[in-house]
Amino acid sequence: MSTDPPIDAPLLRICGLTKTYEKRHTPALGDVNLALGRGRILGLVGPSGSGKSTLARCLTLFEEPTAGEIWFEGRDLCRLSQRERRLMRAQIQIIFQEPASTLNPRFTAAEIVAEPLLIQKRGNPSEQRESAIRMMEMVGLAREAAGRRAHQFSGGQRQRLAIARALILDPKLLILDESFSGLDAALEVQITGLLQELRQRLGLTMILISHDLSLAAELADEIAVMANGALVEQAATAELLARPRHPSTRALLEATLALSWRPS
Amino acid sequence: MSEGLRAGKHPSQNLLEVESLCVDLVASGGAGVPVLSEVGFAIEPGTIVGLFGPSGCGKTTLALALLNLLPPARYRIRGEVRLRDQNLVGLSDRQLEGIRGARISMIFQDPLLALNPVLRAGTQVAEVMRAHQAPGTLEAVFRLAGLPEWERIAASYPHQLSGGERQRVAIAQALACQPALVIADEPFTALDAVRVVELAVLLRDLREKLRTSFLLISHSPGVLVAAADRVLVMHQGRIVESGAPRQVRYVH
Amino acid sequence: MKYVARRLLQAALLLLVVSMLSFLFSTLAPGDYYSELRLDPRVSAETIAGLRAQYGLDRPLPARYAAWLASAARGDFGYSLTYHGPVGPLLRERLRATLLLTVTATLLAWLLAIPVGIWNATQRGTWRDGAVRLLLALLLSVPDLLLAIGFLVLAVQTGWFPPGGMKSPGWDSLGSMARARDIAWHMALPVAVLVLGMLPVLVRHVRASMAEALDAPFAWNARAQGIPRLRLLFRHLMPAALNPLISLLGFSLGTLLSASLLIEVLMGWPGLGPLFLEAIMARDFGVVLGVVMMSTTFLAAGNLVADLLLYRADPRIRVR
Repeated sequence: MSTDPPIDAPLLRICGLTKTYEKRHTPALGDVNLALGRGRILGLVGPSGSGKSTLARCLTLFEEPTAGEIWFEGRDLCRLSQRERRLMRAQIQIIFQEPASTLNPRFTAAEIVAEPLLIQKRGNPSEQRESAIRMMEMVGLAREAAGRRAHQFSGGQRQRLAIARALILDPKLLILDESFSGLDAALEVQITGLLQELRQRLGLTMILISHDLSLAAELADEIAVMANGALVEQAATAELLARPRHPSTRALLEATLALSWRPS
Repeated sequence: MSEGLRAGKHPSQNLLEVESLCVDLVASGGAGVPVLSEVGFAIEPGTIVGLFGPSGCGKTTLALALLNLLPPARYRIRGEVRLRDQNLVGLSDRQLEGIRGARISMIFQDPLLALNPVLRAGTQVAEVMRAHQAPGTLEAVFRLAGLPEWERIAASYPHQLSGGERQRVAIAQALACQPALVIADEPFTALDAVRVVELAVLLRDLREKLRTSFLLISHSPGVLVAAADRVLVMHQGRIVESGAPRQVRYVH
Repeated sequence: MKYVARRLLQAALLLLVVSMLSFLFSTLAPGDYYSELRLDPRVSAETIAGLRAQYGLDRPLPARYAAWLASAARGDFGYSLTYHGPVGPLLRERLRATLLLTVTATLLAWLLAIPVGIWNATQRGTWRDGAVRLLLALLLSVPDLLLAIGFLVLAVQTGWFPPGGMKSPGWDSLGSMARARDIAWHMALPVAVLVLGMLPVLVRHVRASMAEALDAPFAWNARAQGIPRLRLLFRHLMPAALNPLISLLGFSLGTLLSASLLIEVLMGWPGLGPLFLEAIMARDFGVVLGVVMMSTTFLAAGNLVADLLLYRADPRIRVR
């Protein structure tokens, strides 16, 4: 049953999401409840193995949850037909950790960015190419670079290409899964700046998955902490940093502060 | 005299001394592209030395060069790497086999890839011990690396272990023969803050218990401040600074 | 266990479908065993009709197939009109001869390919590597036919090897050692042709998987831990490089019957090859079907063995 949600309703509501794998005795996700408002950035933090990536895979329809509901724009993602799924994929996009390995080495930059349009059959080839080039410019890549191949770009530029490709279908929700690991400090600053700008211009809602609390704290409005498949705490960033409640959050915060020395 | 050679003590008391190490990448046509230029530094026994630098500056190449693991067909090495007065540059593979893993060992960047997928964890650690006829039990080595559930882990294959467990197995492999120096290439990158602190504590512990020295490669200053006694800063194939973690300039 | 049961069921299904198709195709070919006889003016049409009725050759197709299937299930593969005897024992005898050849050749080929492939992989980039690869490429491009003929010419010219056959006349009167030597002497040339035919592909695959293992991060790690070279190759890298080789082994096993058919015909080895050819020409469908079914069984068995071996060899597969 799909009804148009009221304008102030959360964009995304996850209820009781559970995912168990056959050969593992602890569930990868155990009864996760989460709500995310339109235009907000949520930081999802926790150690590796806590279920963050599993959650991302359920949201992007790569995995079927064992139980629970994912309400997105008034529809339950777990109960969609094949055709509806394909359309829904355009609305929720994901960027992974190593952008270089997700870019087809045989395609030019414009082809890479335009590929989703091709798959979703939007527009004719020249319109697609033009959209791709415009999106590349929006993420800070020059129009002239459209003909180059992935390996000819630097690491930071490849990350921008991945972002451009993710945004070309005008998604409502963008998920970044550990997209910043391995980037050195200078690049991190550039990409976070870009994301903030894009949030302003396009009104994007984002979920930023990271094991790095300080990175999440810089970008996110709210932070949710995961541990052992469960969501243990969710609060506005400032609130979470000032008054962490769950022991996992406290441990993470303490450790992060111990490592937070930055060169002047 | 190279920049970083700040032993402070009589040179022969240093565990490792690197002097004028140059590594060139041989392109087709015989021309050499310098990757490391005149690198020089010293490591004392029982210290944790950090190696900082942005990606691409040659940190991993330096680590491989110290153990002479760079394929000779593509790399030319000049200079000296002295392990307690024995120069490792120019030794034969057979002689180096006796040193690698036994006196200097290395922990590679991605434990999932660094461990053999078809051998059990215990087998892989035991193989290192066997190669150097190291005394001691598998249990002791696993506990040393911080793995109390050693039986389950030793019997498991790498893909059955969690990321953290895999890293500890790699550490166990590196420590199996109680080497004097362990080179760790970006061991902290994939870890969250809590685990980073745990690892830093483990390294300090090993330094106290076994007088092991560590060369920690990392691109994160915050981590090196927490984990290292001293930091070497690399930039474009050279060591440009050496000093206390909070005092060196990281940005060049 | 469930996996094995499922695979056996699949294999049985495969055999059924192959038997149906073979039956269909063989009867689609114009004529039957008695077609040749019809050309002889002395034989009357009624005689032929009678003969055909006697052997059930005039019944409709499905009925003939059902009859064949029923007796095959009992182990009776019919009667060979060409050789005047039951098909089963005839095939068994020839099968032994073929297997003797192919098992020896396959074993030899693999025993040679593994060390050569491993050595080749360690020599990547050197001139020795290029030389070996050139040699293998040349070998690959020479057709088996040509090799066989070449060896036969050699045999005839020099007299070092017999030009055909499996046993010398008077073999029965020899002692067991002498008998074995005699067969080995006869086997030498066909085995040589088979081995040379199989070698290039095998070496290439061994080389490729070893090269991949040599470059892998875990190989660097093992070297960094000071694992000595030979042990590194055989205890650490070989097990990791086995996957594609096991699939290839399955293929080798699967073609144990079919690989040598042509060579047998050329070099006069009394295995399934010459039998098959004669049976086809004479439209002796009982024999033809029998050989096809045997071949298919070997193929299915070979694949199953490969999959089971793979399951044991690679722990990553077991998790699924």
